[in-house]
Amino acid sequence: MRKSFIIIALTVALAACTSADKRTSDQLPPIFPDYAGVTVPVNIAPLNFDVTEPAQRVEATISNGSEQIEVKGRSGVSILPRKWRALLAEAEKLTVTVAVTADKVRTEYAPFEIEVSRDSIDYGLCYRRVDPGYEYYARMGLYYYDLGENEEHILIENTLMGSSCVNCHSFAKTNPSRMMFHIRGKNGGTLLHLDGENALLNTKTEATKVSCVYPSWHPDGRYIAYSINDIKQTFHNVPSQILDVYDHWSDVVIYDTETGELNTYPILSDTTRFETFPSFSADGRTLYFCSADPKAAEILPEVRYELCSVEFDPATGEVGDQITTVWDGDGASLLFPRASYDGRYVMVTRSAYGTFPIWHKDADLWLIDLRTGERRALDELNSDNTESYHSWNSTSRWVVFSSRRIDGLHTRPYIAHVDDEGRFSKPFLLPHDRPLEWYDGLMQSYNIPEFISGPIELSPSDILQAEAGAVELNAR
Amino acid sequence: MKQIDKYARLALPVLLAVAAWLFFGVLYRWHLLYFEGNQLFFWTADYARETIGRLGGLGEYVTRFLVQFYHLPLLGGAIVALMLVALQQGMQRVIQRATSSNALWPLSYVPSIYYWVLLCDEDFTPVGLLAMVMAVWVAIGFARINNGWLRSVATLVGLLALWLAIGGAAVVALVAVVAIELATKRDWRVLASAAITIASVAVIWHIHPWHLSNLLMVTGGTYFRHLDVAVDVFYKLWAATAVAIIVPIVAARFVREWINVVALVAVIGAAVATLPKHYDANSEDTMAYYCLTRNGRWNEVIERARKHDPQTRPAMICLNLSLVMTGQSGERLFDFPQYGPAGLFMTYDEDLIFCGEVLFNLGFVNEAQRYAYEMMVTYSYLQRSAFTMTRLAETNMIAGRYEVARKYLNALKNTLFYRSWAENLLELMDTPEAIDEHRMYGKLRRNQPVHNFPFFSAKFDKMLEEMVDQRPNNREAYEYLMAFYLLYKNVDAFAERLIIPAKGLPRAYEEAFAMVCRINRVNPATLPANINRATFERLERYIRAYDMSGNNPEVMNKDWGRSYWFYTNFIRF
Repeated sequence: MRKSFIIIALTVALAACTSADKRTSDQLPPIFPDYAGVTVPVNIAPLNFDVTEPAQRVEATISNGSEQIEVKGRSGVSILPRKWRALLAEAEKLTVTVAVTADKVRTEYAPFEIEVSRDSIDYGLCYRRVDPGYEYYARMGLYYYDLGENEEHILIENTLMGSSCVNCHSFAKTNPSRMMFHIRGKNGGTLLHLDGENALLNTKTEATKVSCVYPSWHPDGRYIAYSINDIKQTFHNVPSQILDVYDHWSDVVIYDTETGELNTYPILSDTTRFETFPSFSADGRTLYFCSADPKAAEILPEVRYELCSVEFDPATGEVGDQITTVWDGDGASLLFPRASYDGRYVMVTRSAYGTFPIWHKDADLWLIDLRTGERRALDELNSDNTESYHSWNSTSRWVVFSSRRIDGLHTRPYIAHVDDEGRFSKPFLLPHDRPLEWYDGLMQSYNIPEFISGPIELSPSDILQAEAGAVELNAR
Repeated sequence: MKQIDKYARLALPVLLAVAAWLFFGVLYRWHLLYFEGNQLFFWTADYARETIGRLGGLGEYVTRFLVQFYHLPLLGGAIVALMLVALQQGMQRVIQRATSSNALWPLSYVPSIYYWVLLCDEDFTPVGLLAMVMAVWVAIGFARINNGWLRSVATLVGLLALWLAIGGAAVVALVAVVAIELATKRDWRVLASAAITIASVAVIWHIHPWHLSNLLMVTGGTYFRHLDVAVDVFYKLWAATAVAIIVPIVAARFVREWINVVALVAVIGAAVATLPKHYDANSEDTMAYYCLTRNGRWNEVIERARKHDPQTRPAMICLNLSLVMTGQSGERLFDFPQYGPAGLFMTYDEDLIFCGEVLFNLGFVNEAQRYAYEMMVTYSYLQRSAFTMTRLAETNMIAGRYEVARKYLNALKNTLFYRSWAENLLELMDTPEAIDEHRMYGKLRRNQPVHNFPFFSAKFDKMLEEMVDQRPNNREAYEYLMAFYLLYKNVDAFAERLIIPAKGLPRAYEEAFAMVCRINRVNPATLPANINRATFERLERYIRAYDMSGNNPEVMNKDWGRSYWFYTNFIRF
């Protein structure tokens, strides 16, 4: 009798558990981030996702063709890293099927695929997280993110530094042991981390008048090209625009880490031009930069930067005497040139005008093929909203770029694969363990995402100790 | 004496509770509302993780939870009062346990009164108060453990955990634990544990980046609103608390009831002498103006000013904005003691809070957004605030940046007191046409500038001119601009912009207009019929009175103090 009762009770309970109506949908599942059709590296951390609609239960089956894993969650799925890695190890493609139960209705959505590239991605990303604000700032910091583990580490937060501003972190070809960033404010300077040695440089010299700003490391790690800019802000009144940042003047200089000298060059300090956003080529023999006519700067919407280059001799640190216009932008402004490390491409941000595209909704990424001279808009990566800063990974098979496509204000890093033919895959948002809660709640922007090939061996204490004594530079 | 001592011990906590409740819940109610508006407590796991994860984070988290109820000032006042009483009662029990008597029990009020004084300054948060409450009660809890080993383990682990949870105020628990132990059981294991705790803190101090910031180390960075607090204040407070614990222990055997009564009189006397000095009436008044203005309670602002002249520049700005928003500026601008255009606007470096309200309500929506954003990142260190996040949601919605607005509103849905407001706005955004038709948001959307122009806060009158040129129907901007002209005594510009409605001019405008006509020798008879001739006659009477007064403002103020003519003749700026 008792046994029968238990069987009946279990049957009823089971029936209750499975009483949800079942439906199928030919739509893709409403998940965040959108992973449908993206290409990911074989060594990426689990692509956890959440559903964007109310749900009581989410089930996902992820298959690589020979094996599959099943994960369940309340509003999203969190995949065990061990199982994920095993699945990815042999995969060329993953098929993901998602079912969402809401209001006692279980809807199984159309499956989607994720391409798995055998091109590994670097260890991680380094970025700044900062409020997308105006002049003032509160908490900000430099962080690095382990792409294989979905773990963020603090490099430095300004709460430890008397609320200084930290910015413009940069690495010698993704090498975390040759890096730099600026500390602004009291006791500020440029922190240079060279193979375990740290120094804080005062890059403001008699000759340059202002401190160094936008950096680019030479591929051999000896030189760092900087722009020096007299930067201003202006605020718009009309709803379609918010603010603009522009230069009163700007030049390009090159710092030699071996001699400790900041080299200035008449050709890159032309008073009839603005020079900014330097970027060394893969072989280190060309320096790209952006250049504009200062006369046009009197009317901000008429400022157009073109992409130029000048020869550079790594042996002497000298630049050539001829400036070449690589692309005049065809009526638009070209910014943030970044040469791929394989020497094939230069990627730029193109916007209608100005020098600060993050506040320009029209800003898009463009690619210049250095072998053919062909240039094209990267429609695979661009959105209706702002695409701005970008950088290449050490193998030049992956790019990370900033985009405001989610809400139009808070910048998020997206990663995309580039194949042999220069085709870019659909980008994916930087993965996170709890993506919806994290990105939805985060009121800060990701700023200047840069690949790094390993963890950064630099502690806040090291940084603060270096901050104690700034080294004065000599300009040559 | 014994009876006085006994009954005072029983009655005084009640008196403290009631006095503190009335002080904060009634006399400082605008402070509470202002404080609450500058924080947000989110009911989310991420928020809890992020807040509690910091040094002193648990204390901060619990305090923010409590502060959200400042939204209802009487409840908020009761919360502050209860915290002050809890601290006093904890102190009294520490003294009782250490002395096995009630020796010098009035000293148990010293930390509470000290913190009461600190809380009169809105930059001191209640986090430090709650941390002290937790510290003394944890010490009492440890003292109640009879087993020596257990007590020593609790001391070792508990004090360290307490420091991580509440920040530097844990030193109060350490003092109390050691004092009680030395005065009672004198168990070397507990004392050794306390010593190890101190050493552990020193080690953590050294190896963790927290040590890089003295403030973070001492207070968790949250006992004060800004980073630039002098931590000395807290050193003094904790030293005073330590003295209030140690002195009764040392002096217990000499203390008689009459000494307690003397101490009681001294403590009450000190409180009565100190607290009124720290009651900041001007600050309370200014916060009242802000909170009323922020909520569009224009008539209450004007009524408040009618009863008492605004004492601060921000309060004056709130009043003048309220006059404009209710359409009374042209009539009543000089019913209140104006002291120049400074009462209309401040520069960006001087103020973001009050002028943000002016910008928003006059249609400078992008600028209002900038001010709100800057206020969010500067004023409310390390946290979001209700004032700014609600404003950012509004400005983004008005400007059509719906996704950004949704982000703020979705966050606000996780709060107790702003949830329904956020849901209403989210619903409104579902149909953008409804925003166009909304009484306030629709008007603000229509009042925004059409073309870009550089914004300079130091030249706000020029910004208003630009706005009025672009948006002639922006009545609020027009009236604000006219107020600028009048307060600048720029009657030519005033006359040039003056629009004479069919029903005639309001009093202040008409007074200025009559003055312009007289200066330019315009015969009033040639003016349109809707110009009130009586104003011209009053102007003549004013001139005669002025001549007879010998340029004496006190004589003139009696009959003419509310006229524009008096302002032009006697107010210097």
